[in-house]
Amino acid sequence: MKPSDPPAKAASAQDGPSLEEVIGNKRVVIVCGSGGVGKTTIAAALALHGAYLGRRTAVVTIDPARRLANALGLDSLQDEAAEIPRSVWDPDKKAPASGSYSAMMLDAKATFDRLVARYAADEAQIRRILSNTFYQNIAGALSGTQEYMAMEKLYELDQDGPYDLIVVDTPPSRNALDFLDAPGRLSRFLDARVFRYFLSPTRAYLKAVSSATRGVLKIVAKVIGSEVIDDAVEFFAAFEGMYDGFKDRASHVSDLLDADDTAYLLVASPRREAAAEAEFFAEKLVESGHPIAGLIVNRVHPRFSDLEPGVALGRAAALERTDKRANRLAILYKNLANFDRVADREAGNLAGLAGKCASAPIVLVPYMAHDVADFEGLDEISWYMFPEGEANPA
Amino acid sequence: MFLKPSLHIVLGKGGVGKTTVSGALAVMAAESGRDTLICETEGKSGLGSIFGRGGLNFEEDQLAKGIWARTIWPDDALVEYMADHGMTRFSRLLVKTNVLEYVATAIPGIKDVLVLGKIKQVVKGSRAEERSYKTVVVDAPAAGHAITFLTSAAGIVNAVRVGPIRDQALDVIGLLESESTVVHLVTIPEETPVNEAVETAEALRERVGCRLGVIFVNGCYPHAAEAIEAEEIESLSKGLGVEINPDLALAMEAANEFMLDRYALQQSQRERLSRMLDLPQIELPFIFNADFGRTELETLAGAMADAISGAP
Repeated sequence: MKPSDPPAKAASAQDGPSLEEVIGNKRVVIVCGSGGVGKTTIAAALALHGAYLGRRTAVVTIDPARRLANALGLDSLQDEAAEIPRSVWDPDKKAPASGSYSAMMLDAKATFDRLVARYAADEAQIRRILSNTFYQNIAGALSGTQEYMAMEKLYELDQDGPYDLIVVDTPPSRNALDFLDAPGRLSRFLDARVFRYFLSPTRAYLKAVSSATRGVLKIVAKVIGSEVIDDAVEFFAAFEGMYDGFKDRASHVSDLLDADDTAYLLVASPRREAAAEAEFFAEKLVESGHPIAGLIVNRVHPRFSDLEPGVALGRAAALERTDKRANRLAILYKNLANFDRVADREAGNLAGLAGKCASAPIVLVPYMAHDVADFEGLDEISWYMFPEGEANPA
Repeated sequence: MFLKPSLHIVLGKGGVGKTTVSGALAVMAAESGRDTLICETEGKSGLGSIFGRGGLNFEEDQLAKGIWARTIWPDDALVEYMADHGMTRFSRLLVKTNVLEYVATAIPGIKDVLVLGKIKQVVKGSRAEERSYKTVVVDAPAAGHAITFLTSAAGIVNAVRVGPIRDQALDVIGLLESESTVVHLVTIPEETPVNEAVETAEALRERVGCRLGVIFVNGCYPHAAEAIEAEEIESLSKGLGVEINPDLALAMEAANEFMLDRYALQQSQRERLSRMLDLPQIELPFIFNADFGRTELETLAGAMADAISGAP
């Protein structure tokens, strides 16, 4: 078997829709997985297949590698999805006329600014909030903001964009479900009861905050300097009146994440730690009521032969050191054994993961001999994911 | 010499094998007779399982002869810092009331400074209840966060004018700039990881006064054989009196070609890396074994020791 052939599909008790059906029918596809597994590339390739199926497709990427970003026409962060000319993504004119491909790179800060502008009462309130240091930290550095803004952007595109299919890459996060939980967490953060003590230290508000908490805040102010606390207080003062709008919005975003038309695809790599992380991810997704609609294993080493690697290594050992030609053959046996051992190890790493994705289709994308940084490469990947699809390269 | 610094901070993007490289570095240090501690900062390290253990905790845990490991979390570091300064009750409240989240938002980087502050204490061996170590290896957060992890202290010094947090940040800067601290990068010989390693190195040179040590190029394939076609493999076998079927010969040709392609790609990326970044490259071999455990980690540590003694 040549490595350029699609690897055999992993055995799975598939009874749900195929990956082709997911990309062909769902409205929102959320691509999740841990860092370093090629999530962004897979998301871009899934979206390309959507466009080839004639769907108006948008892909939201988080932090694409530079050359892939260039290929997608993303030279910098931008808050709007831009349509890529058909001649670029479909040079051979194989896609139906209805298909289109738009891409964007998430600018979390700009998305947050827009959200503030949407719920602020007037220009003055917008200015007060946007110029506040504490706000800038929330928009730029608060853990979970990027996750939430990716989901907020998804909601915007769903509401206002002319798309049939939106594919969203998710930020690499420490916790599997940061992006699902993000809308709720940000609402809770903004509902900062502790700061009401500072905002309006009247009897009524005092009740909302325990005396212990007040003590904590006083000491915090001493330890880190009161200007830092003042900044936070000023932010929460400026934010007054907007909280309900934000909370409402966050609950709509959550609804979209739970919608029947939203599918979750898990991307993993067959390395041991990555497979273990993906297993954990899969468990958490299922537990939270978001079944996995497909598992894509990226960068899989092919198994070249049926020979037991131990047997091949034995033959290599027997041939070694006899003469030059024997040595040459020994090296070939050893190399074959080496790669077949890697393939076996990877299959072992994936065994548990496949069990966690019970009825979902599983596709394997091989380890490519080159980096994927253009539409030709994306097309090649999508050919591995959709071997019967219409996007087969010549 | 390589092991002279007491603190080795290992940086790399997800998927390049940062944890195994940290583990191998610790094995190498322990084998040269140094008591070594590995500090893990993300709470999901597979380090314990390589040594046949479970997950790591904030408390030190001995993994093998001369090797200890622990996880350093901001919350734990804060509680301990407060307790050491006679503020146990307050620190519990701080964590319980979630005020730390607001403080961390008001001062981004405070969590990193708490972690690095604790690492400084570990390096100095200044906490009576804890062991002291000759070598401390930090398995740092994955890239992206890696740069902010090391620049956070400077940010705090700019933002906070007085108080213990500022002192802690100044201490951390002192630690990072110290002669006995060195930062190593980990990458794999592929385009995107190479680019990211170069960007990380440039950012660190610009923004942190730390010393860069080496760049570990992980997962390198060994030097390959020359190209050969299946037919030639068959006749080679027949000439040696070894039976071979045509399918196997084809598989051997394909595996050899795969190796040659990967090797060529790897070499071109390594050349590119040496053009873009003037750090010694330490080549670490791709591990083909079926499992990755103690034995494999020791193989890696051996290769690391050899490459380091041969590096300029």
